Amino acid sequence: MIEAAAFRQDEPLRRPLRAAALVLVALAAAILVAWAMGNAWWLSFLARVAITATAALSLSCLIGQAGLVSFGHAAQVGLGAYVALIAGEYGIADLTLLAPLAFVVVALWSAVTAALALRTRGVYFIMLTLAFAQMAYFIMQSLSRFGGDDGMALARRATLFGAPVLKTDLGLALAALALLAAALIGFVWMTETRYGLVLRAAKENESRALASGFRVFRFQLYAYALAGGVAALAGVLLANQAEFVSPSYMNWHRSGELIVMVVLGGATSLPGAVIGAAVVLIIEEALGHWTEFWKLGLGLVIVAAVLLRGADLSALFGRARR
Amino acid sequence: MNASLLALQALNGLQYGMILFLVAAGLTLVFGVMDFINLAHGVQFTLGAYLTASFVARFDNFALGLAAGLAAALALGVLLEIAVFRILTRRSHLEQVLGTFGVILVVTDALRLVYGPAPRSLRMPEALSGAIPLMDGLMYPLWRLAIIAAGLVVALALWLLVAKTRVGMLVRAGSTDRETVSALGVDIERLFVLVFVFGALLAAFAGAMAGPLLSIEPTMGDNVLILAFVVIVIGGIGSIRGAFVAALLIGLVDTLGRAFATDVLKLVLSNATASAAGPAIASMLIYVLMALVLVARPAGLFGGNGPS
Amino acid sequence: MSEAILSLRDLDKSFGALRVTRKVTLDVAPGEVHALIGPNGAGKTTLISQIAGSLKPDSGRVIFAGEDVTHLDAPSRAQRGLARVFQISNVVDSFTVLANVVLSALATETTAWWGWGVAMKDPGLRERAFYALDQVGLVERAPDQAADLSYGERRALELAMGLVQNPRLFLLDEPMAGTGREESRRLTELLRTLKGRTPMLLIEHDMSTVFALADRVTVLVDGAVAITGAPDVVRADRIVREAYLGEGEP
Ligand SMILES: Nc1ncnc2c1ncn2[C@@H]1O[C@H](COP(=O)(O)OP(=O)(O)O)[C@@H](O)[C@H]1O
Ligand SMILES: [Mg+2]
Repeated sequence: MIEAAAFRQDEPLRRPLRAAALVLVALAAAILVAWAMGNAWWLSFLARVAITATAALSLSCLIGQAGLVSFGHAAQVGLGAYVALIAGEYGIADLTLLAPLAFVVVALWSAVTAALALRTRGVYFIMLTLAFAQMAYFIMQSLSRFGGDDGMALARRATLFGAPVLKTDLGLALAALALLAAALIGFVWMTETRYGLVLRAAKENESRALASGFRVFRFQLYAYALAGGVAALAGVLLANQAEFVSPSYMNWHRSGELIVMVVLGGATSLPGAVIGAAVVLIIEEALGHWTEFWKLGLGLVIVAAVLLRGADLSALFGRARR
Repeated sequence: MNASLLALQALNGLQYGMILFLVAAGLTLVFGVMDFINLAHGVQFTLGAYLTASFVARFDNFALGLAAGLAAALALGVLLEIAVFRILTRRSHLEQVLGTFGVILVVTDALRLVYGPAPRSLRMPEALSGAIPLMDGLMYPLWRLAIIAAGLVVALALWLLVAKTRVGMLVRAGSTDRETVSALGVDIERLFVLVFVFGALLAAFAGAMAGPLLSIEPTMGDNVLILAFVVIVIGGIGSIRGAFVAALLIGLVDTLGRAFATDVLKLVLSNATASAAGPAIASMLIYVLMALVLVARPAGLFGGNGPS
Repeated sequence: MSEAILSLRDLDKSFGALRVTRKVTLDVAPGEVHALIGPNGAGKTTLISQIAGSLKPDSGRVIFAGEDVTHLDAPSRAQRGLARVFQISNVVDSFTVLANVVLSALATETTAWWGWGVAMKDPGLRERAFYALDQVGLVERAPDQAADLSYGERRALELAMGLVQNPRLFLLDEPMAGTGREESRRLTELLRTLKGRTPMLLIEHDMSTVFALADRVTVLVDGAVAITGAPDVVRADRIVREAYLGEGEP
């Protein structure tokens, strides 16, 4: 009877999943073209796009879905890279072990810091996430055994079931793409599960969620841990690509750039974060090609984007967003 | 560690705290009154140092150079206010973070473009370049004492301004109850500009005063900015008194931590472990302090009652 | 009287120098519609907040269904069966009407919030949500955004969000305020059908509604209980007439 009511919302996942597929296919095509043309630079650039996009995506889940503006997300990426470095020093370089290890370690770090940061709101929360990121930065900086301030080369690239899948540029790009695909589809899906529904409700109206009986704190804590874990996986790949890890991965400027990517892509759009990451990296490379003062250009783009229109690139394309 | 070394480091910490206070005072007022997160506040610090350095070099006179440098830094600050910040104050915190982060990138690279990548230095005035004996075995640089004195004077002036004047009353009220102040017929926008200009001036002044002690480079404001945020968050956003207390606390903890953490650790740990852990713990101390304060008092030490 | 579903004992609350709740002691019996009336600023909403757990009392106890919940937070109390309709409509604006009710239904599911399935396609949740929407007459609006609802419809939505949880006590803070005459009549009718099944603590300014629905009435003046009793008794009370019902009160 009433069930029969016609519904626009019956397929809530269709649009975001289609957007996600589009983004992923485009990236996959670009990787294949670069590979077919034998262009190593492009291949490694595209791998970097996929890795950075995964990090931005996990931050987008926090900002856009959970409403938690973290100003220290680069630390999560950097910590993941350090797990790869340190585990490698102890002979752990197979992804079957390394990936879960990085995920769990950084998710735990995220959960512990979030448990403290979530006691506050607004700017206090933003500054606490920054403070914890700075703490992580200084901890790593002081590990002289692992390169200290200068950083250190990775013992060797990671393997998967013993196979050197990350050895070649193509292998690395495909691995990065696979991670991105899993994260993107997973996060998009998550927004429509029960958990995601509550997370989004709490973002928009916390008092409503509390009054309905949801312990918002826990939901946000899990989101923070999950996003940290995913960022850590991106960090593992980043370390493998550069074959080098240093505290500069955790510089707060990098956290700022991740926020830029998320917001440029439309803060509430998960596929948008991937586009935002690609756009920022392309701007960096294009400007960097042309002048050493590329940050000036990037800064101008950011300021202009924020001032001209709530900083949402997707709005420029006139696409409706949820 | 002996008494004079401890006194020396304590004074250094005090001096550092004063610089942090000068930067944090403006930040906390701007935030408290306008609800505006200005990451680019550190830019004023950098501009103050750069411009003062170049004008001092040109005029070969510190006082003149300082005045010109501050005026120029202020002019640039006002320009930024009109072009960017004014619009951002009406946006969400996320956009404020983003927009002012963009401003940092622009100004940092613009400075590199204009002044080159090599660090610059700022000569302190001849008369204050010496040191005086404070106690047995402790000669202390006059310039650092001058910074401490300047910080105290500014703190006192700010306190008088906020507590005793009409403008101060409006600032206090403006941060807690915007509607009421508007209803009083006060032009809130003008009040904001006033507060902003004042904060920018203090940060530039801090940069100029710290200039002779630092190497002047485009990113010098970054560190100060983050520490200033730590200060205002610990002190309670909007509270001048909180900023003052927290700035001195941070200055002392950071300086003493860096000076003595390794030695203290050696009392309980092996020499090698202590040498390794000491610097790490020293650089983390203030963040640990901040986390502890916020866990105990989520709105900071003096938070929750507007500027005080 | 059988054991009360809600008992307040000597509840006290101050905001700085302003004492908004003074030694409030009050019982809501099972099945009872208990109206809470009083002039603006009497402290009614503040009292509801203390019952719901979003405000902590300075002293005193809140006992719900025989359990001392004074130190529990709002979500814990909601999970024990307290549903609240806020004085100022409090729904998730960007969600559809249906999503708001599904969200609310989720909170009382034993499986809580696990599951990979798409929440909005869960047949069990949908059925419960539609049933609640049907009760408040909002089925047609189910696919629309909550932000697009009229004021009265938002109130009805909030009611549905409470109903779907099968609450053991409904806290209703002026559910009729701001609704049109027709909507107000419908809501009153709805509350009447709920009467006897779900106990309610109802804040309402419209006296005809109060006297039509309430089994008992408590009058709050300056944060203190002035009188509690049957509607007729309260209506006849001299203090009440002066303090509240008195003519000339703005
Ligand atoms: N968070 C608060 N801080 C300070 N005073 C408050 C707060 N909430 C309510 N009040 C004051 O408490 C009194 C009671 O308010 P309220 O409970 O909303 O009254 P009612 O719902 O009966 O109209 C009012 O004077 C109101 O101004
Ligand atoms: Mg009320």
